[in-house]
Amino acid sequence: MTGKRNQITTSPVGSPTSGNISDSSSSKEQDRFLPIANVSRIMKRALPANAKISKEAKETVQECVSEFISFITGEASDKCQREKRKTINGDDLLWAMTTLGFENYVGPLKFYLNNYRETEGEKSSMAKQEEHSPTHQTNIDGVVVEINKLHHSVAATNKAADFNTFSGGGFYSVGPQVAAPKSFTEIGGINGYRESSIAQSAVSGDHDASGNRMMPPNLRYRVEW
Amino acid sequence: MENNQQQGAQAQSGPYPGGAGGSAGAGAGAGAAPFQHLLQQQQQQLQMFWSYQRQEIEHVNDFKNHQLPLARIKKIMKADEDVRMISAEAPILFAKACELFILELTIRSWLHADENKRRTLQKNDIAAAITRTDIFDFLVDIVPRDEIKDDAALVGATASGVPYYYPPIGQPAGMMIGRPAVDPATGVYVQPPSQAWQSVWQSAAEDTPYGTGAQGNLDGQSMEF
Repeated sequence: MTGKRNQITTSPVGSPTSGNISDSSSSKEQDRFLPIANVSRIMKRALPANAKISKEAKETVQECVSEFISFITGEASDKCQREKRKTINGDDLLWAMTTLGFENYVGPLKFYLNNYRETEGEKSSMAKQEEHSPTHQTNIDGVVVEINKLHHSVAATNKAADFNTFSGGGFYSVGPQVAAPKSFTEIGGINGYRESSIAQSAVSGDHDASGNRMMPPNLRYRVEW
Repeated sequence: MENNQQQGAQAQSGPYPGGAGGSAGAGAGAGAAPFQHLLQQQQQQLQMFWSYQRQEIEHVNDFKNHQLPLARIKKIMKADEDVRMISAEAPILFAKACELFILELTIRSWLHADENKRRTLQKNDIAAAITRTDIFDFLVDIVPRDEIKDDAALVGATASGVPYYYPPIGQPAGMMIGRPAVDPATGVYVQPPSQAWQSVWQSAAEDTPYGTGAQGNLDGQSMEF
């Protein structure tokens, strides 16, 4: 656990998208986008097995996704204000997507949202400890804190993934690699020092390996929580 | 940037017997209207994509393992000062919506890379997808104008009756000479069939290891691990 926290602390410094090395600036810069490892993983699902993705393309899609979130959220927020409501819910987002031309998304997402509400409803009736909110429309401060705790643990896991990706991919700092407890991270770091295109491909593949290998530790941490 | 070009060059110089055979077969079907045929194929591929997404979402039963971190999504939503309160279901819905967005944007971008016979997705492929898709108009500010200009040149070439092909940026034109994918009768490059995409989508549940299905020259690279 201590090692993992060190990784989290180091992650903002290793972010290649940040032009400023200071922690606060790096952190804010990084928070504007979703993690590039997650974005890359989803992109690969849409491509043939032998396709590659340039780093520029990954970063561009990162920016596009943030813009998409802000675009839909802005429209949903306007609707809530017109209707004198304070909380943006799932239906507001679905309405905004329809209005802005993403009606293709609404069908699958409506199904997904109904599944979620049914599942959470069942969990609520079973009164599990993992349940964070009896109803999804309630935003009590305590409930928000609990949700944030869960989100932070999830974000922590993803930040660790960020660390592995960036240290192997383009930021050749020795400190984080030494602190990293996992062997595949070290391998990624070693490959990162090579300048040939073959090494770059190897490093790119290592991202995928890192992404895959993050699953078991992720599950283990969840069990511990 | 240099590494990306090298990777692109390597990918293009590699043998693609399946693709070549597919191109030859599709060439017969293309007939006198290769552009219309290409558009029809693209529409079919996107329809298959949406149909698959609907099926996949129906089987979702775990809302805690997201492809994207909820805390980060919430932070991006909160960047808008007008947004006050967000229900618990909103970031969860966005996690799935962003997945669909990334998949659609990546597929549309890959169509452009494939038209230029490249195996590496570049930033200008994403710019082309944004330019060609109405619902992506809100993203035009994210890609620089020179990227869009190149795509405009591509459209102009098509309108003037020149074969639907444009040399990839940064690649010497000579590299395209003698490609087996060229139809000797009309000299038009034909879109390969979409079987590869179907297999990729159907195996989306399990991530394909980097080494699986790699070409001969890529096997050498995977041994670097």
